[in-house]
Amino acid sequence: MSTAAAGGSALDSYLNAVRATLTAAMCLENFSSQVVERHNKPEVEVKASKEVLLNPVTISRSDKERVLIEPSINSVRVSIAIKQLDDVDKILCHKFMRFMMLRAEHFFILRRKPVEGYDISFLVTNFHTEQMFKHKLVDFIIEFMQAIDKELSEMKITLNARARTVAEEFMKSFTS
Amino acid sequence: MATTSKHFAGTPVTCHSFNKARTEVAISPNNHEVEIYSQKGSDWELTATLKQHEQRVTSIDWAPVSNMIVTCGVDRNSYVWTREGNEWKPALVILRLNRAATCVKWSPKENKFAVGSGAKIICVCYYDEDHKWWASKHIKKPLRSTVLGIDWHPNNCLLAAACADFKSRIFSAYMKEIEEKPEGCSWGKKMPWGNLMGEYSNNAWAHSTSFSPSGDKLAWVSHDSTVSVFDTVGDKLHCIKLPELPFLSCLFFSEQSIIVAGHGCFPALLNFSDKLEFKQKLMPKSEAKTDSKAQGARKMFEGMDSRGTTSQVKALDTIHQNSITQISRYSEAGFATTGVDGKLVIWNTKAMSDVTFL
Amino acid sequence: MSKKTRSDQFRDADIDMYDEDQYVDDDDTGGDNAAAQLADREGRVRTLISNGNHAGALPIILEAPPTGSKDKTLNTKNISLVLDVLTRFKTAEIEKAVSGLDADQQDNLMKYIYKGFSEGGEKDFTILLSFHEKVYKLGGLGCIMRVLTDRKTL
Repeated sequence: MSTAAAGGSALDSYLNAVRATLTAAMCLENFSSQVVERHNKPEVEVKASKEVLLNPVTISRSDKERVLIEPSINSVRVSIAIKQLDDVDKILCHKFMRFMMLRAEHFFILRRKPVEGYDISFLVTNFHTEQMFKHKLVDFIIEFMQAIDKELSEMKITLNARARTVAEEFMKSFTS
Repeated sequence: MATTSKHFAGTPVTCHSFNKARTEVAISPNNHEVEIYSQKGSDWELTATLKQHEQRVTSIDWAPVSNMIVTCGVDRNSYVWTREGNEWKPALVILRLNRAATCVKWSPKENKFAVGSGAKIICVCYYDEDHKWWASKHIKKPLRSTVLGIDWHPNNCLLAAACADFKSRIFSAYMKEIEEKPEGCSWGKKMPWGNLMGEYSNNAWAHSTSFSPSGDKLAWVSHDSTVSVFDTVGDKLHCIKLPELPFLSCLFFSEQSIIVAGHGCFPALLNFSDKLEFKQKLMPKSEAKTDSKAQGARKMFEGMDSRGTTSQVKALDTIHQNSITQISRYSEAGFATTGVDGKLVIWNTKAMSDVTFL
Repeated sequence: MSKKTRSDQFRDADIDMYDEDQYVDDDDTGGDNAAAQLADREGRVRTLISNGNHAGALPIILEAPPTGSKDKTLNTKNISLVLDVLTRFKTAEIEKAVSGLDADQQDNLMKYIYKGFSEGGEKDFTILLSFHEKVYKLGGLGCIMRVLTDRKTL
């Protein structure tokens, strides 16, 4: 198996594993809080009743690239750690994620702050699965993961090209 | 036709209950109201709206003989509705709960009903003639979490409860104030109030439980995609692991068949003779959607307009488009399902020629 | 500015733990002879591996996982034994080896796969991903569901 093909199918098996685990974790139902009367809270965020929480699972593609899925009876939290090889990647990723998280209310399922150790987090509750198709929610998260990598590498290339142009112009002023 | 479906508004149908003649159905469209629909030809027409609950209604049960409807909701209240002419009058039930009520069921003789709740309590309610109100008695021990589903034994005294603390239990709900002492049955001889007659563990939350028509067997479904049956005849617990998404509701259709439905959006049939086995998923082919070319083009432009995509949202190939939350007995050969997609589907087992029900 | 006259340390006290009705996990004390079982398994597995028969070692490592055992070193030893056997597989051999497993073994294998993902390190995750794909094909979503719900974790 050539490395190119192996890379492609490794990404595929990673995304398929995430897709299968997400489909299993998104079996949510409306659950009224046991702690506060007449309230309805995402149990994975509150963590007040231990019995309604399920085991968190991780799926890793490499040491740096992994997804953490924390399910519960009425909500599931999905956190993604994105591959960042050098400092430029780290800055770009941080700024991009921050841009999206500041506009979290437009995304519906995006969490305003990522979980500790990860770059971005989603919170899907039973209200979301009631209004939207479950399989489309899973599709969205998988496409998001694919799109992020593409966007970041494009941004890095643009950044490098721009830096090169700027440096060239600057150097030109010294030669005459 | 193997199935008939009715699509209520785009909101989930939280719960449903038919009257005895199956000419009327009471549903709750995921809010604090209960709507009653009457059969008009092949369609259902809204005839009454019951507004008394302040928060979401979680369960409805329509007593076949006395024609009273009992409802319960997240606002910790329960009401018994009696029909007066064209109106339904509510009577508050003194539940004394401090958390949401999750499920309610009339007993077979309709002289009492049980309410499960998030307060880790089951309330069994009876009509107090002296005070002319519905009073309740509590079963507390040893419940450790929200009660997700309940079912009555045919002897009117035993109550099964599926709980989020990973256990299915059978309690005695014999109330000496209103009934005679029951005779012993296969679950035990003595049935004092609140006595725990049986307790069975699972690895995950038990969502729903159902007694067999004779009462000798108890089936329940649990969140780890298993279906379990305890058989008092052989005194044995049978459990089957399935490769599907978890089931939310189960119904002992006959002594040997169990119907389950849940997150997979399809009902499935299991047989239980001397062991539990999965028979098949019930997915009738005649209902499959066939998109004509004209429809396809229209949907594409609609998609571009509303979603910014050219591809159509592919519908699931099951009748229900989202999880099925409740199954109920419709007739000798039929059952009804409601789900998060807002549909009520009535299944006719006689018309399913490729399935044999034992 | 007003000064706080009373301490608010009480706000950090966890009163829910004193609630009698709170659900508590049952203590699983089945770890008594787990050490002996593990040593026995390890012995059998090593002989099979030295003969190149890691497919035969697969059902053995999936026997009786020591869930709920209080001994942390036992758990780590067990997990490293399992992952050692799994990483010896070539991608093409996985399907055949996995097809012979029953439902319980599939569930246990899925548990170990997820545990392997979370352990981290410089491991090669592609083998675990291939195992996941093949076990999912057999066990379906129910198998993954049972990993999420089983309270007896490794």
